[in-house]
Amino acid sequence: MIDIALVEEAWKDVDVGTEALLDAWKVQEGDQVKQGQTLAVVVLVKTSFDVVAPADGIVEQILVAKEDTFKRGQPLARLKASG
Amino acid sequence: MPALEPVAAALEQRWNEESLARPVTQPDWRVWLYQHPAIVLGRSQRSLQSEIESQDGLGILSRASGGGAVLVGPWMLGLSVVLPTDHAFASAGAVETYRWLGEGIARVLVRIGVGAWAISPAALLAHRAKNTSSVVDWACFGGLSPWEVLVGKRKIGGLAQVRRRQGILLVAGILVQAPPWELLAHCLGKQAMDAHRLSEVTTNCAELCTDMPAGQIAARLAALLNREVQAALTAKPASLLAA
Repeated sequence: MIDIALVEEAWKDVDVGTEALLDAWKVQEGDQVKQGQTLAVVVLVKTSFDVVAPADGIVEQILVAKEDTFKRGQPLARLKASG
Repeated sequence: MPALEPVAAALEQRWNEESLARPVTQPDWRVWLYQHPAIVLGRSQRSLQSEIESQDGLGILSRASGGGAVLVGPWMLGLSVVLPTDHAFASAGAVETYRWLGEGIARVLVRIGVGAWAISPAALLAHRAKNTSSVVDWACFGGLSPWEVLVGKRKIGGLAQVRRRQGILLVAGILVQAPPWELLAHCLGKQAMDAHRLSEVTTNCAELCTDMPAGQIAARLAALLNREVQAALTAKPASLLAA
């Protein structure tokens, strides 16, 4: 199982305690996804980021709902890698 | 050099979207002057688009980048810059990517006599600690983020960004004249005191360059911005990193 999170680089120079917003999910639980596919769009410090699949697999569980906020390092979803 | 004719705000949004629709291989940019007023909502506000009360044909648009609503119009100058994901300006993270743009805008404003500066993350922390009065966070110009542009403590330039697999888009808005904040507040169903607060926490070039007509300020600023961005984006890699 792979935890999906916003890349660490996105949080560089961001104030401690600042949270990001999960703006939209592009997939649902159970969806088959390809490596590099956009899974979600999040917003942090007026920047919108695509969150992409690190591997082929199935979206096992969405952990942060649309319009919820999340902290640095917090998993957004779990991916069951295929193969 | 890109054209400096006033355009509809929808054209800017279309250019931004189309620029990121395919992999960005070369930096590109546009400076925008606006023919007519329009409200441009931040990405997380787009659900409001159908609810907002449009007045006298005022366009209601949404953008891909984050942040609050912007009232574009003849009082504002816009800038869009697209970069490849591996560009020197983009590789140090989103906050650092704002830096060269904020500092570049401040340099251009200084050249027309506006004593602007770009606020660093550390200075922003100190600013927030000292300024605890209400923030109008539904409007781009009602809040402050790293490397946005101020004159004293008042905001004059706002920034936002989109980071996708295909490329990075930076957008900026600079206040040439005072926008009709009451119109923005009214259309978004906000109180008049928010409009008053926006006028308190912002400034504009016309207020500070009283010897130059607003039309001249916009044209001069647009030409200088074009030159500034062109120089930065066409500089050799070593110069980029030192910029």
